[in-house]
Amino acid sequence: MRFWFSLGLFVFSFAYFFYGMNTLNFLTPSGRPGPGYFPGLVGVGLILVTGINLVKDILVMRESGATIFSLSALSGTTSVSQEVMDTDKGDTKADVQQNHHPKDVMIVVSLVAALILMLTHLGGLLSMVVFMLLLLSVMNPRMWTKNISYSLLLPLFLYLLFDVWLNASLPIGIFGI
Amino acid sequence: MLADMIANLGFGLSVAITPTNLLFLMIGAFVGMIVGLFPGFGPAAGIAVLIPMTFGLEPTTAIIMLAGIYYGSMYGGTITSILINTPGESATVASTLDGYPLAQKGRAGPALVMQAIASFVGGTIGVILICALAPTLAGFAASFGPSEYFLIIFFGLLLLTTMMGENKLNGIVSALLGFVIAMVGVDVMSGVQRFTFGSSELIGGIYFVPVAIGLFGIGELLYCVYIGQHKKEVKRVKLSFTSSDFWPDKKDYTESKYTVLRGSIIGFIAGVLPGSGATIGSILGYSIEKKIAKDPEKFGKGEMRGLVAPEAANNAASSGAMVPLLSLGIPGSGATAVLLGAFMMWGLQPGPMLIINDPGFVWGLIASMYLGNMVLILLSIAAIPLFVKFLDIPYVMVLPIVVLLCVIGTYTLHFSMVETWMLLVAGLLGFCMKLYGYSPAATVLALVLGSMAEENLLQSLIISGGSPSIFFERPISLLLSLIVITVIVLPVVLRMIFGKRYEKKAL
Repeated sequence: MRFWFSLGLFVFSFAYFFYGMNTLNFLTPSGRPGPGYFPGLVGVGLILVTGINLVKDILVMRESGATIFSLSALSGTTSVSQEVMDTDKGDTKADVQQNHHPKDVMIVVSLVAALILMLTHLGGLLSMVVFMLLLLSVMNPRMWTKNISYSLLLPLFLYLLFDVWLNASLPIGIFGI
Repeated sequence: MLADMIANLGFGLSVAITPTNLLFLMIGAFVGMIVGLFPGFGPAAGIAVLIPMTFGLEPTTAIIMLAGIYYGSMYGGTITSILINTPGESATVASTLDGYPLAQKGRAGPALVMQAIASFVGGTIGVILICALAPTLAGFAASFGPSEYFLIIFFGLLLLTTMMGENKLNGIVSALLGFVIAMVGVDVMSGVQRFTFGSSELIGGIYFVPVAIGLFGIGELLYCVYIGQHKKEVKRVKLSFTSSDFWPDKKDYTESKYTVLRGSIIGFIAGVLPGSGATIGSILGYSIEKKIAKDPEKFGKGEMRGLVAPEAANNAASSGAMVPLLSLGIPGSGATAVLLGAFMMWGLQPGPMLIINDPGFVWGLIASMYLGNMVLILLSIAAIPLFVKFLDIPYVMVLPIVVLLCVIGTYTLHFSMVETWMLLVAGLLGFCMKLYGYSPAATVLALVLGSMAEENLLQSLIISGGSPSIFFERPISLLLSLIVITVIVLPVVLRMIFGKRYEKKAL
């Protein structure tokens, strides 16, 4: 994944620079720095640095014998410092990799996206309750009583905090709450 | 000078000591301790998430509360370092080295009390030094022109990326990404729209709060899920609060009395340097204490000085970081960058004139930090049983609180769904950055300082007719330029001369 992230940043840097240079003037007609001057400098810097990072990643992959579609390039590789911290605790590198939970990350991201989508349809309070029930049923299975009571009490507390105490109205959904 | 300091502090106390300010100071300190307790949820995320809740407050009260979260988290972060060998905050990493072994030796109680005392002394020394330094630096900075300001911002970002060791390039990318986000919206110099893609929502630019909450709050949370924090069982060291062993003995105090002073001074200096901050301060405090000790072999095996030094240092550093923030308007870390954003949100114009135009705010804030440290030492010792109970809450129960606070807090900023989606995008970016060794703090710092950096660079070039000589003409610019060049060139030269040996040493 590191390779793909580096590649994504490199492509983004190119797109940013060329879009900026096509839509903004680098210098004004009087020769002063224009609205595209600073973005231009930032774009050049980004292309250079992300380019070097990309080349470094390719070299590392070549050394390890991996290709861009191989498992090691596609699986998450955590930062070196974290790996050092984990391996210091006595875990082998394989253990550390096994202890990663990319699926759970995807579940949380999907549920957060669902929460944002639900906000305007179901309203603030109901969306929070549904989000918590879903999240806890996946992350904390079989603890139904605890999960349901927590899923009702926490959103109610946040509703009272934001909507009543701070007067920051939460969105109202189809059920009028 | 001493008389001025006392008068300023007295004035600040008269501003800070109101029932409302004291109440929110205590709330801030308490929340800060809780923020520090949970791994992966640092002060920057805590401040960013709680900004929306301060909208109904007076600016001074709001900032007093947010600052309370900032320095309160330094106290809270150590409790987890000592009891479960997991730093709640990056600035308390060094505290695990001797804190946890102390707890394993049955000395968790004395360790918790000594860390509270060291934090209090460090924080208080830090506040006294702010009183002495901030007005002097602000007076000095009043003569700064745009070229000096640009160089200071550049220097701060450069130091932040340099501190990333082997990941320097990633640090530079992170800072540049912050500039990219800051460039969206109307250009203040020409009035031209930039990178808005015709969207009316983007004309005003990308607001820093959703980005900061996303990078620090959601990003850190996703990372914690990735490393399985939600599946880990909390195994903490048990301690008794009623036994006489809970309190430190005479030897603990006598051995640590100079350690705490050294740690405070080292930490404060590290904090004042832009881009350095409490994490570097605490590591420096620990390493120097170990180096000068007659018995360095005891460190890492449960030595009280090994806990006291980083604790005094990280609290002094968090105070030290307020010096460039209050006197120059330039933050040195992710958390102070979020605080700076909050200043701006409240209509305060950070910079050397802040202390002259708004002395009530500046001195009120500084005095509140002094009071906050007193509140925190009382909380740290009297409420240890309560905070220890918090450690028994499984992370899976903390997870929904963080998500809901982030999402609802972001939505209520401007009732904007676009900003709420931006939060998720920033969260994903923050997760990838954390995973691959980039620096979300550098991104937020550059985002907050982006328009200021651009404005000062362009003004400098307009003044000089496009010539870069403006960065070398005035004595202060020349000095700053030389420092910047040294920071960039020195590692390259050393690597060329000493080759791989230097790289190994640097790591």
